[in-house]
Amino acid sequence: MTLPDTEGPSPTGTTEVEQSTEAEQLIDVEQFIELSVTLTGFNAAELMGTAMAGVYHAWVCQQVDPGLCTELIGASADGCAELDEGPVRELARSICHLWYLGVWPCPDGQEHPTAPTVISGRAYAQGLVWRSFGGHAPGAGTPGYGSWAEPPAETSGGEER
Amino acid sequence: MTASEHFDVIVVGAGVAGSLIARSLGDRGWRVLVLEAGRGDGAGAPAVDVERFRSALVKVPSAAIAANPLAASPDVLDLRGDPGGGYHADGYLLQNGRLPYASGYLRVNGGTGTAWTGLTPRMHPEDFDTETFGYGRNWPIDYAVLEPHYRAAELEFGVAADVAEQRDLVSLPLPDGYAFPHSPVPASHLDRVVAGALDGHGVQDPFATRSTELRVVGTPQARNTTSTEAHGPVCEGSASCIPVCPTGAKYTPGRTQARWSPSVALVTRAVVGRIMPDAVGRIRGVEYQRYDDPASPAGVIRCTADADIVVLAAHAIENARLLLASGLANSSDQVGRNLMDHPVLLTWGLLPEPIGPYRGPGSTSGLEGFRFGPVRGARAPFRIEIGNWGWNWAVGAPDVEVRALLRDAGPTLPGGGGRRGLLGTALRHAVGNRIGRQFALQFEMEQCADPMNRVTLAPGQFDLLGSPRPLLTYDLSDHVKAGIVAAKSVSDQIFALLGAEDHSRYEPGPFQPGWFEFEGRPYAYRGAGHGAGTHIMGNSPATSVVDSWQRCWDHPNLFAVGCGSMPSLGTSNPTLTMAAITLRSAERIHRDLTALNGPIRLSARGPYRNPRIGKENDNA
Repeated sequence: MTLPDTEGPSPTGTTEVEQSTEAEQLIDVEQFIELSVTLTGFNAAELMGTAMAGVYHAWVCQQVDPGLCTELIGASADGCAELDEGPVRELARSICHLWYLGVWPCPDGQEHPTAPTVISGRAYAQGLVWRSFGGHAPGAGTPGYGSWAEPPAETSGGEER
Repeated sequence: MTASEHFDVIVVGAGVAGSLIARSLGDRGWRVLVLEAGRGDGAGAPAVDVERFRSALVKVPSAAIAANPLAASPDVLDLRGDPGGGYHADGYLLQNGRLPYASGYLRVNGGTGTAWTGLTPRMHPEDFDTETFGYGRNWPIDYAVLEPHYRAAELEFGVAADVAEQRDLVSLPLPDGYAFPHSPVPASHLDRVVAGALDGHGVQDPFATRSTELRVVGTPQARNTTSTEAHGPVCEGSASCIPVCPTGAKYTPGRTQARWSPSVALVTRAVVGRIMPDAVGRIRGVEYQRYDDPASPAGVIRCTADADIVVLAAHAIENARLLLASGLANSSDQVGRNLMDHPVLLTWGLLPEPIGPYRGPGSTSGLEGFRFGPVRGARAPFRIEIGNWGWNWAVGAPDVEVRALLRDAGPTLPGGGGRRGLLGTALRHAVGNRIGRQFALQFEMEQCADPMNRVTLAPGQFDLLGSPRPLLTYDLSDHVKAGIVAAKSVSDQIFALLGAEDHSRYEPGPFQPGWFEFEGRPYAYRGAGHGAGTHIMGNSPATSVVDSWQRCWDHPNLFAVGCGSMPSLGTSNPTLTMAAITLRSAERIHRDLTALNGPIRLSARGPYRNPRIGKENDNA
């Protein structure tokens, strides 16, 4: 079994971010990963294993007001279940959406709605949604001949926080 | 306009049928020009690209090909249901029927054959003879005539199936000693779970007098189960057969094209607009337009090509459009009529335990007990596919499920997210638990030929190249609707045996353009992408467009091949049958060419090399 393909150039029409922004200096990638662990229910090793943390960190810093990010980090310091409805919880949902599907959604209540953005084919392939039930992204891996005849992989995980 | 070039045969369309015709005639030494409207000449970026699929927001059957305004591909996203029922169609296909024709097709080198699932059940002998059951139109040929051509098609496709199973459980007559080219594709874990719960149990079809015994049966498919020189690599379970197999284990026309003889020339980005007859009704050739860049209509060049025989292989709807636009082959008034598809009722739910959806080929097994027998007189017969890809077709999961769990998890889910939705480990567990238990059943209805379901030319509506656009008028008969009623009843009983929660919902609105009510209950159907019937085959020029060789009655050197010729589809995915009738037609075309030209000597004729066309032909 091979892991989903993570090689290859970024396709045209998608949007991997490279430039460092001011916001990135306010919230560093470690803080972003720590926040993402709380929000997604996947541990840091699992998130790092996708090799998407840097891209998502840069993307979120570019898209979102740094003050709101800082507020979310503060509000979720003791867990995220009780986050109140509002822009902070909406940002939490967007970050989960990004990690699970590789897509930045159009957040609810936004003044000028935009279409959801597929970050890249690589982001789709690394979506946490597939791991949540022991699968892989269609068209992005080669699990092997006859692999579909086996029971699904064990999906336990997310307890070790 | 450039000067015409002369070929033995012009084939319009490089999909499954066109590629097979070109292969067969090229192998016999004939000079064949294949004109393909879409892109994909092997140079530059691939026309069908797995990376394009991965980065597409919506993973529809057209997601792997680039948009092409000069040769638009009808897309399922072109259709939207209206809030109170009804639909509107915004794409290339215009529609004015009571219900929508709900399928697309691809205009790209390889055609819809690049994006097909690859399922290849044969039609059953009784499927060719539905008039016996009081409906539909009979074929002018029967199963026995087609049988050797079925074998030839199965060899070309590299079909994987179990002979004993097809003989005993589908009652298909297969010759003694016959073996499919590949051993059967392993049943999915889902198939095994379903078989464990269903096999041997009876369900009551509301239209039948006795109960029907359930039995999960492997589905023949054009997918390699061993790596072979003839058919290529083995299936690696990438689970994206629609729209693109990244491995090359699924048959696509590219595999046939790679074996074309040097006497076959392919020209892509060549859109045929008109077929040219002479004064006595023989076909001289075709007019077509060539483009380099679909974004630059100004750079289009008008061309003509001449041939002894012209073969239309451009898809049922495109073939009809070309014949209508050319004013040809229509003394029967049947061109464009009898448009058929397989309307599909989807049912979807959650099983008690995780089964691992989104793995392997789209479907590996089905239930065959509702396809045959006298009950088909009372309701459309149907074949049940067990869907391996969760609710992908039904609701567009898993995106929909993730969005729902983030916002409104409902009171019954673990984690207690309530109306605010879930985050953290509760989200992870809920996503895994819900999506991991998803499954779907796909009930594919036979739809019989009805002259009122038809393709016409939309008055005053032209595409960017100036050709008239197709206008579809489509509806479901009560016979089909009765099949859908029976299917839902059978589904309910199957879900009960599986202990599955039924999440099927049929509601008017944007995502269910095929919504309708029948006998007071709501239903919705999808299109299987099996467009057919528009140049129907028959045994009389008064009532059909083509003869059993797919040769137009009105024009002895014009053939219209593909699903458009089929008088009925049965409940089988039609590509294999289309390939079988097309391979049979290739023999007729060869004989007709021989009669026109006298026998040819392969060595004397040699490869045809035209400097302008040769550079387009990667296989030359």
